[in-house]
Amino acid sequence: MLRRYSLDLIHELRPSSQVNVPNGSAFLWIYASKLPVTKIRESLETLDYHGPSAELVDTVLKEAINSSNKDALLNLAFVVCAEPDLVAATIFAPYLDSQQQEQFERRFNR
Amino acid sequence: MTFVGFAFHLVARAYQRSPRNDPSAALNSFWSAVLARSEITTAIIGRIIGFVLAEASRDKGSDFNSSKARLCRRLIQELGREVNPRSRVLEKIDSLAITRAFAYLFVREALAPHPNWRSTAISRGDGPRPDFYEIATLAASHFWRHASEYIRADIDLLSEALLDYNPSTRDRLYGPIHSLIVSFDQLYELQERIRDTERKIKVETNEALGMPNWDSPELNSAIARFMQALVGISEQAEGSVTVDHKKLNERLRSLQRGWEHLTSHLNHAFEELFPDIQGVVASKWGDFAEEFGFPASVAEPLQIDGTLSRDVRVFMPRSLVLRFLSATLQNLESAAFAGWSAGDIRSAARAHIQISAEGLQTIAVKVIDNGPSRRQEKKVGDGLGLKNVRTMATQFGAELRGPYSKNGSTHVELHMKRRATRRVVEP
Repeated sequence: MLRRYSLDLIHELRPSSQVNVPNGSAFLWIYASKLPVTKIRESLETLDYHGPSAELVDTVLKEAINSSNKDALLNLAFVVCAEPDLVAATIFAPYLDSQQQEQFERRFNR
Repeated sequence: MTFVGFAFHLVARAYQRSPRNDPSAALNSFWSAVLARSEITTAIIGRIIGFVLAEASRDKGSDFNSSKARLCRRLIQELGREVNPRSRVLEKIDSLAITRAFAYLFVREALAPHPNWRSTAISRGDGPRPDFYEIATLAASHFWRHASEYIRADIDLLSEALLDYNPSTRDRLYGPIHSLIVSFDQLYELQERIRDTERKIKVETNEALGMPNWDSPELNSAIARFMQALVGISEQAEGSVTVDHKKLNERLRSLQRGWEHLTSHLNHAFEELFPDIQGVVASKWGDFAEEFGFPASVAEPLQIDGTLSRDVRVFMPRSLVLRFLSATLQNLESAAFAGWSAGDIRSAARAHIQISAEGLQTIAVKVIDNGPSRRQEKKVGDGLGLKNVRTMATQFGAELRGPYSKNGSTHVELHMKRRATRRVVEP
C-alpha cells in the first residue's frame, strides 16, 4: 500500500525544472515566493559572520512565529526541507529546546 | 508536506541534540497537528509515512539504527497509538475515520520488517491485546466460507454506490470502506499473532510450527492487491477534485477480482488453523496399523462422543494435531508394546482414540493403549516429541495431559479449544 506513495514522492523529488513551475504544482516542497526563499537560504549560511544576514533570519523567525500570514513560515520551511542540515544553524538553537519551540508548534498547529 | 517536513526536521534536530529526552510528547503533538487538519486525507498520511521511511533509510540503509532512524520509528509507532482503533471510541464514520483506519494499516506495513516494534506499537491500545482465539474466531466469522458473505456484502454496497454515482455517493462509500478496513485489520492482526506464535515456538523448541498457508506470498499478495484497490477507491472518495469515473470503475473491478482470488487462499489458511478434528484423526488413525506395522486388530474403532457434530472444529493448527498423533502413535511402536512378543501383540495389544467434548468449549483427543505402564529404561530423545507438542499447544490455549496410567491403560490427551461458530462480539 505504501509503495505507491513512495513512488509518487520519488517522482516529485526527481531533479528537474519542477521548482520553476508555479505554486500549486505537484512538487513536494512549496514556497510562498522565490526571492525571499533565496535570501533566507543565503542568510542562514552566513549569519554567524554577517550582521545583516543574522538580522534577516531573526526577522523571518519572528514573523514566522507571530504573523498571521504564513508566508514567512512557509519560506523558512521550504529552505529547511530542501536542505535539512541548515536546521543546525545556531540561530535555531533557542527554538529547539526552549519555550519558543512550543510557540513554533502552536503556530504550526493553528 | 512542506510544513510536515519542517516539523519533522525540527523534531529530528531537537532529538539529535538531546537523544536521552523522550520525544513522545513532541511526536504526539506532531500527529495531533497533522490529524487535526481539515484537509487531511489517506493519501497525505501515506505520503507522510513514505517520507518518514525515506528519511529513516537515508543514513544507513534500512537498519533503523541511526538516531534519525530511531526517531522515525518512534514517529510511526506514535501514529499507530494515535489511530489505534482499539484505544478510542469511533463517534461517526466519515472521511477522517477512513483516513485514521488506513493510517493504522499503513503503520502495520511500515513496521513490517521489524516484528517486535510492530507488535508492540500496533497492538498496544488502552486495552489489552485481543486474545488469540478471539481474534482468530472473529476473523473467521468475516472471511471464512459462508461468513465471507459479510465481506461480499460490503463490496456489493460499494459497487452499488459507485455504479450510480451522484452527490450522495461519497457518504454512502464511507460505511462499507470502513467496515472492510476493520475486517482486514482483524485479518492482519491474526496473521501477526500467527507469526508471533511461530517465532516463540521456534525459540522454545527449535522446531517450525508449520502453518505455511498463513504467510504465503500468494496470500499476502492477494491481500495487498485487494487493499490497493480499496485505498484507490477511498482516495477518490476523499478527494475534492472531480471524480474520475473510469479510474473508479477500474478500481472496483480490481477489488472484485481481488476478492475472488483472495477467498480461495483464505479458505486454505483457515482450514489449516481450524481443522475438522474428526477428519484429521480418522485419516491418521486409519493408516495407523499399516504405518507402524501393527496387526489391524490392535487399532480399535475411533470412539467419538455422540454429542459432537461431524464437522466440529478445533482451534489448533492441523500440523500440530498431526504432530501430536504421530508422537503418540510412535510411542505405541517404540515404548508401549516394547518387549511384547508378536503373538502377544496380535492377541492382546489394544489401542484406541477417543474424541470427546469436555464441557462446551473444549474438545479432547485421547490416545489410550493397554501397553505396560512399567518404568522402562529411558533412551535419548524419548518424550521429546510430546514435550514439544506440549510447548506448542499452550500457544493455542490447549493442554497436553499425560502420559498417565489409569485402570491398567496409558492415556495421552490433547485438550483443545473448540471453534465457536457464533458471531463473536467485536472488541
